[in-house]
Amino acid sequence: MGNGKVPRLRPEYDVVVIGAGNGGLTAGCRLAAGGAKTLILEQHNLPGGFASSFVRGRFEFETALHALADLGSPDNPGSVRKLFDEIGIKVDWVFLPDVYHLVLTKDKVDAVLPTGVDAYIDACDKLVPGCKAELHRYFDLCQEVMDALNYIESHMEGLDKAYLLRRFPNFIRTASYTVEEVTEKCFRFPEKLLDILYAYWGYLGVPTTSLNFTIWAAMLAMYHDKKAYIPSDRSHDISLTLAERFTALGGRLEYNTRVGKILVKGGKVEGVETGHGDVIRARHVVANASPHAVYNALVSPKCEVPEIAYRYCNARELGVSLVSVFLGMDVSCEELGLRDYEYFIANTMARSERYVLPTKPTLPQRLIVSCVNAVVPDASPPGTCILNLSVTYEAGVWDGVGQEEYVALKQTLADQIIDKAEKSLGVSLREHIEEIEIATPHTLARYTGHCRGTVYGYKTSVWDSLIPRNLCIEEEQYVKNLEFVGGFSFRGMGYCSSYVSGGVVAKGLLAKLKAEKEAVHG
Amino acid sequence: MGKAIVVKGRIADLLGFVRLVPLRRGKIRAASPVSLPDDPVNATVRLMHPRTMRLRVVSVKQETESTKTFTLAPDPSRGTERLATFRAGQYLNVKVPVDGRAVTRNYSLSSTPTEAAAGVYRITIRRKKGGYATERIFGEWREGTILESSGPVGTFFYEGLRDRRRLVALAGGCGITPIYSMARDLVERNADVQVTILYGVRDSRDVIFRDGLAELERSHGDRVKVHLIASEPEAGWTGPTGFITAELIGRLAGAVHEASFFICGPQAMYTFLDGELAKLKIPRRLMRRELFGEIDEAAKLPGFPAGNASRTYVLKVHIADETLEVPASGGETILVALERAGLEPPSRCRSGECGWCRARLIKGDLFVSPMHDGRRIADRKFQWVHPCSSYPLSDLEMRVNRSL
Repeated sequence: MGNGKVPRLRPEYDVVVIGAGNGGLTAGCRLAAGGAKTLILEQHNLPGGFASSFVRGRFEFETALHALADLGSPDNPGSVRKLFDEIGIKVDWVFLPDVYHLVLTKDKVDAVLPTGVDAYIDACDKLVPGCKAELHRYFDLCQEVMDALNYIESHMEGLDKAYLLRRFPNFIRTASYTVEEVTEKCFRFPEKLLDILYAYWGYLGVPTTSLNFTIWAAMLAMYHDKKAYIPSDRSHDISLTLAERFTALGGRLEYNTRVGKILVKGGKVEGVETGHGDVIRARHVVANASPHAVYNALVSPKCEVPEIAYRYCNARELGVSLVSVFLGMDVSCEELGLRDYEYFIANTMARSERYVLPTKPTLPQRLIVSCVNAVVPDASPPGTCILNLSVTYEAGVWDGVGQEEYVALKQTLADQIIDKAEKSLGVSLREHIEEIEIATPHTLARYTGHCRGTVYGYKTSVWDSLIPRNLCIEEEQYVKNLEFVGGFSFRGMGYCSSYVSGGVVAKGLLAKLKAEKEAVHG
Repeated sequence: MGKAIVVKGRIADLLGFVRLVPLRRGKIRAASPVSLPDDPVNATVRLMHPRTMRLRVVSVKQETESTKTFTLAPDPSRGTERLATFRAGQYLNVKVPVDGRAVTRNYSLSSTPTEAAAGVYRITIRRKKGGYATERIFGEWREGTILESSGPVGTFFYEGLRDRRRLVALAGGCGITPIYSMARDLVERNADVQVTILYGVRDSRDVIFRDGLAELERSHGDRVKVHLIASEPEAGWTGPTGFITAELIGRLAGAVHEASFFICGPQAMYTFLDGELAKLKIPRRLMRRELFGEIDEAAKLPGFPAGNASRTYVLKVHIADETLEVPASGGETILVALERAGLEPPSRCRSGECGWCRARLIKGDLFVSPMHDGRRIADRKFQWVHPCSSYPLSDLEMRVNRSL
């Protein structure tokens, strides 16, 4: 070693995990805890993928997380808390009392929507009197969908379909529809209530006109049953806690190491080759990466990729991307007059304009402003606060932006975003900006390599939502012993789904590894 | 269980569920079978943020007795077709081979983004007597020399959404390089910004970019003012002398409370200016400083344990799946110890800020300069450190990443 010779990695593992994102880390922890010899290879110099943070001056900025809706409290744990408890993950969590503060400037709505079914319904009833009973019926339906999904997840093997149909008929009945089809055909909600309800859309990035009802219902039920949390020390704390735990459990995590090739022979995974030239044999490979990246760029030789795998990638629609303006302010949020953690801002949620997203990189009508100090007062030094202003774009809108125009474009846009935040919230920001960073789809692509700089995996429209993805998981395994976890995998986008996807895949792999060993020794 | 929901019809709803899988199969079969390995966003990102740029020295200019400007062009024969654009004020992390080992050094780009678009970068380097890297650079770099560097990086640049329309730049010695780039860039972009440069030099022979600065002032006098301040003026010097004091700043730069301050220079200058700017009551928000690479002298850092600089420790390093022991001087950063051992560890800012060199401490004690501690909260909790701003206080054991 030394003098230009590249130090090497050990050449054999039971499982190689590509990517230390949320799914890769939980998969790694559960595999290592189960005794599998596991190596995680991460292209970046720190864990987490999108779940990270960065430092500018005296501020540490959150990169991605708005809220974890499937953590739950110790008394009422969600899937993520159960998984974290099992693999020994302890993080300081902060409870979020509200879902969001909705500001619709043209519709003249300005209201805080709390978590908890009853509190949420009460708040809605104040804004649109007379909708209580119908909302209760709606949330009952959402809870039934959530219960059905929980039942399926805990009975993956030997699923009793007749029982499912008997016990959760409405889950089955609504599974093939969009949010709007179910909500507007089966419930009598005044238009104004729909405007408020659909503001949730901001979290999933797929309009309710095409978003599948199942995943929507699950999210609503989760938010109100498990409530929402964030880590007190940004996402990097969760990611590093997972990474350190993985190492403590005997796993090996190597940073700054890109996987250049997934080695495949006869339709079956044999190992990986890294950008440093390490060749590592493994019985199983877990990709915390998109099928787009895996089939188009990693599987080697290329003739091992069946044509259907390309069709599989090309059929799918990429989720949205983001532009975020990160502000380190030399004034407290109290002084600014920002009391709430998250503001959903739009001119209007009126049907005709609700989902209009710009087809060019111009200012969209919807904006999310979050201020972590409202719930974590010491997230930055006394007398300062951290703001995040984010807008969404459809995948591909930033495709044509070249390096020559890039800086000027993002500055113009950030200028308009700050302006909109100031006007909608009645605050004055410009005189207090100590640090500013502007992240675009290009930034997101730079740090993760995600296709077109998107953040939300594949869109969960009806044909590509949880149920069809899960029902087809076996027939869509185009390379044997190659599994997917993370935001592009079977459970859909978002932190919680990614964490759980890693846990589910690891559980299956541990059983397979055990069977393989028994076959060898038996 | 809630009351039965019927969306489109009792049968239709059930059929819809049953048909989810055939619907999905149909969508997939109908899609294009063409492999699309790349997309335009990632392609642009590779241009803007290349992992490595392969460059060639196309000309060398002697600026002062101790300073040279190297003009660099992309080297297509080794895979770099175009130069990445940058924000005036950013730097390149350049690989310098020293006795068969690669160390890296940071050099601010003294040229402008317009020039980069036209195919050249310029970096301006001052020779340090006995300097580990600069002695090689001055001895060996000439026209035709090939180099490797990072893409342009750093956060020391003018940002109109944050900074005032008046910019006061305080530069010392070679610290003029990013300031020169910034001033020329603002003029080239016709930005509505007034720039006042206070440039501290030893004497008139020490002035880098003398002609360029004079030309800026001559042709854009309405927007750019340059003041040279000599610390050891020769006879006949007519300008201000001494250090850049609060009084001098107030006198030369005018309305300081309407300005953003950009500061770049040697460590001693920052220490001195801390006191001077405090007198002017400039809010932190309006002051930016380029830490500008390597910390000069550890022993002068506030809180540095006396006597540590003369000790030598053993550093046990785990890198990939290999382990070795290397000596580490108490007066040098861990990054330098790793480089001296020929390990080519990752490095970028070399001043504790960016975290590119992030490594895990396993055993032992470190001194981290509080002024250069850019670590994340969780990193501190889990003993991740930035080797470029950490000094050994005992024998150490660490896990270090390979370079990407």
